[in-house]
Amino acid sequence: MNFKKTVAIAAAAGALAAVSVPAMAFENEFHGMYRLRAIMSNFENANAGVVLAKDAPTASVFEQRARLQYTAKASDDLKLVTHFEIDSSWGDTAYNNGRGFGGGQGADTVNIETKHVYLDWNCPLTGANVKAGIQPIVDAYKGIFINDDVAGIFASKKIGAVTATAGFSRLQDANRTTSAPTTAGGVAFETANPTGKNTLDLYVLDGKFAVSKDLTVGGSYYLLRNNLTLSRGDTMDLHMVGANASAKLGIVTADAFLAYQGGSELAATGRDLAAYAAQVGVKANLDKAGVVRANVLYASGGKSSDTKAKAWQNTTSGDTLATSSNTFYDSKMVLMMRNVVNMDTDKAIVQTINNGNRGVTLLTVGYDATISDKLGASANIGYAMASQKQVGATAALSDKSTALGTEINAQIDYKMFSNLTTSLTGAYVILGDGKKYANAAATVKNDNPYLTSVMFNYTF
Amino acid sequence: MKKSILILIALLTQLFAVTAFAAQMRLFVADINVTGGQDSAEMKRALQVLLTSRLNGDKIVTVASAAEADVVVSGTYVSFGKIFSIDTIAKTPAGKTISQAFVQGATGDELIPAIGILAGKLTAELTKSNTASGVVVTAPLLLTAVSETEIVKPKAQETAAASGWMSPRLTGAANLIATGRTLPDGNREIFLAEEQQLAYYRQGIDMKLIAEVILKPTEKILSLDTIAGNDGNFDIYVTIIRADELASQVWQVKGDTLQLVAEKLPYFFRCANLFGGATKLYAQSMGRGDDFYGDVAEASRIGSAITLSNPIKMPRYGNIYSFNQFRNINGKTFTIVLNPDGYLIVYDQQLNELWRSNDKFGGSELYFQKEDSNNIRVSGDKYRWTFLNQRIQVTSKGEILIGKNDGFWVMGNARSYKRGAVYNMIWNGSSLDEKWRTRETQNYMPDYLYNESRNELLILQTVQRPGLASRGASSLSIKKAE
Repeated sequence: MNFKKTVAIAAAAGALAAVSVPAMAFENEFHGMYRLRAIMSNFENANAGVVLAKDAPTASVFEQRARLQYTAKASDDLKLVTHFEIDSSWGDTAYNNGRGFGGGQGADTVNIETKHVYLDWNCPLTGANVKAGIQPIVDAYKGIFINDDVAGIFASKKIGAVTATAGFSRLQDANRTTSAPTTAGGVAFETANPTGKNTLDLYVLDGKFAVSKDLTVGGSYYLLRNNLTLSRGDTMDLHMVGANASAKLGIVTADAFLAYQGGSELAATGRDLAAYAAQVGVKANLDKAGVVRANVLYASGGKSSDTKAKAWQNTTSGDTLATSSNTFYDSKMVLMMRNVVNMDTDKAIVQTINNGNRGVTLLTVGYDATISDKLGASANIGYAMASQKQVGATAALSDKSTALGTEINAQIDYKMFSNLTTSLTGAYVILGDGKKYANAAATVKNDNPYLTSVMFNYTF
Repeated sequence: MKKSILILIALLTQLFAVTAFAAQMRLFVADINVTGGQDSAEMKRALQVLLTSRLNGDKIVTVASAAEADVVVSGTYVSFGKIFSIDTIAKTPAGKTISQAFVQGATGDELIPAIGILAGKLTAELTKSNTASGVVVTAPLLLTAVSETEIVKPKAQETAAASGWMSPRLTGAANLIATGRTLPDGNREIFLAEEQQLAYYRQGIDMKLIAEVILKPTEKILSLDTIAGNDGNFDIYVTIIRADELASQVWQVKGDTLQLVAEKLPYFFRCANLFGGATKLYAQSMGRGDDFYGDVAEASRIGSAITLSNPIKMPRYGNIYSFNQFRNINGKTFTIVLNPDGYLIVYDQQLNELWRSNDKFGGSELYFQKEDSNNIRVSGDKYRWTFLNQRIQVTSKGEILIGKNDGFWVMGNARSYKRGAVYNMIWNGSSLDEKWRTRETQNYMPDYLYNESRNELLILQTVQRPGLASRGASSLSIKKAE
């Protein structure tokens, strides 16, 4: 090939690559959000742990989060989805690279987090939609088992009114040859060189059937295969089966689920497991009067002395399995349950549905009013109790009561633009004796937690 | 001497002013037809790309669609053995020929250099014609009176500006338009809908607001259609979403008022003329998980009871607001759909994709939201957004009309279009050919309507977007589609 030809081909290739012409089907899609939350609270801050104390000081915290999602869409049937996040709490640190930093004076911090990277395609042979890579997952049970970002592959296919999903996810990989097991969560995880020998894997089978426009029913089977701390080949399997339904009856929409967990519990002791969870939610559209909501959630609890574990199991994340990976956002609780707008301050009185093997029983009632097309308001009240009181060898290791507390909260939303909403929130929890006192022997009363916040939330 | 310096400064000022303000010609390279050769589709695309890149320069800026262009270049590549010829023609969007150029070569090796030569010829011709005919706007000399010859008035624009009817400024940024009866006095009923307001106008020489109803703050209007009802009255179907559920209404004109005749109907409604036939009412449901559930079906109403019949299977991306159907001369049915990215897709009777447009069409700022707690952790938004789209109309002659909005800011759910046009296209057996299009509006075009019996296009424009304390404003133009 002569030089002229090479140059000509290179020029043609360069031109093809560089010039955007309408015939190209490649689409660039951007989404994102920015949220700033200014908090005044004696409970929520970006420090570790749940802080309930006598004379808990009021603190002011400002936290912000930006998310940028870029999707490279090669065609209707193939796209790469990437999602990045930048979190900071004002004043935290500067010039000190790491996730969640950069809010200190000087700012300049390498703090971008990769939230999702996955390929999404429609299989030309089967018509199934496949997502492979690091992606969001939420169970069919409002997130009380898992609602997190995971690495895995999930395929779903719609056949008539039925949508079936099957998937696999590797949640953790432990290299026991180089990392000593820790007590928090049981193991330390290999962060550099996964070996595939000792892993925590999730298998998902899920089906949804749209019986009619007003009724959908579903069922699932999840297998959580845990051999993080066992010899190769041995596993502690958690099996979960469940059924769910969603229906509309006149002005009322309702949903419900029932789920059972068997096999082994998620602790290193690996007792046999028999746990339950159930939920019913209703929403009544009262026309001009607004919308009334109610939810009841029950997740079973158990005692450490039980031969068979009875507490609802949920996944946790992070290298020490210490971060909650489960949610129940439908409760609309601000302090009692994990709140969806929390960022670095992510704290709740019931941080996980397992709730230290206590489980949780929660009843919430809420009301949403649309005052104008820009102004809305909502108010909620919720009562939570442990499904099982923990009783230890001594009073200091026991709970004083099952009562966790009653939360009242209210929020006003003002839509400044179609994409920017300003929210004023107030929440107060009257602690039950189970949280009012650190344990059954304690005599010091913890302060009731409260929070007020102003939030700007921009999404596109 | 002083005087000479002043004159020189004045001349230099004018010279620099011209340089600084000279507008670039916006050029679009359309299809280069290929005759002979092996892979004509690939060759066609390569020629288009190569010519586009070589024409791009200081005086010419290439654009991504004919709609944005001042000049459209098309051409033909013909090869006999190794000898080839590329002949091009440059036209204004109105179809006036500006210049022609060609280039020949004896071997394939000469192809790429030949395109460079061709681009050079075209650039020279176009630059010359730009100066001579004023196809694109060149800023006037400073400090001189603007003479009539320096104001560009392309023939098509002059005609368009002078023809048709234009309403006065109408209070409220309407998203939707529908027409009603023609009254004995010749006036026409026109209905406009904002997010929460339905307005009834009579249009004659002017446009007079007769009645207005304000919906609840919890409600949002998603579509507006009219059709003769079973009771002899004209029904106004208003699709409404309230608290995540459909609660649509039917109104009728009674004297000078609007009267509610049915409400809380759990359907999306659309009146459409499939195959360019009689206008019929169609309905589709909303599901628990799906925004648009099941088939689109013909609907009829008795009181508040809606009866569905003759369901129509939707192809991929098809829903009640994104589809229409036409037939070819052999009576074969084709379904046309606007996909969420804005591409027009034509499906055959088996709902297999036959063709999709290279240009984007549609585009609407109207959307509805449903609470979506599964997605909130990821998106940070407690709602899922679903955008509606421009209506697709089919005439009795099988012509397809579609609206198209272009915007300076369309990113994710943040949309702000700035101009729109209506395109008329016809199926040539293998693709949709553009037959005509309207001049671009100066504002976002939320909706349009084609009245075939009167051969008129009603084009709605948002002249002012609603703000914190204002409803915004609209205007309506009516043009003969000739």
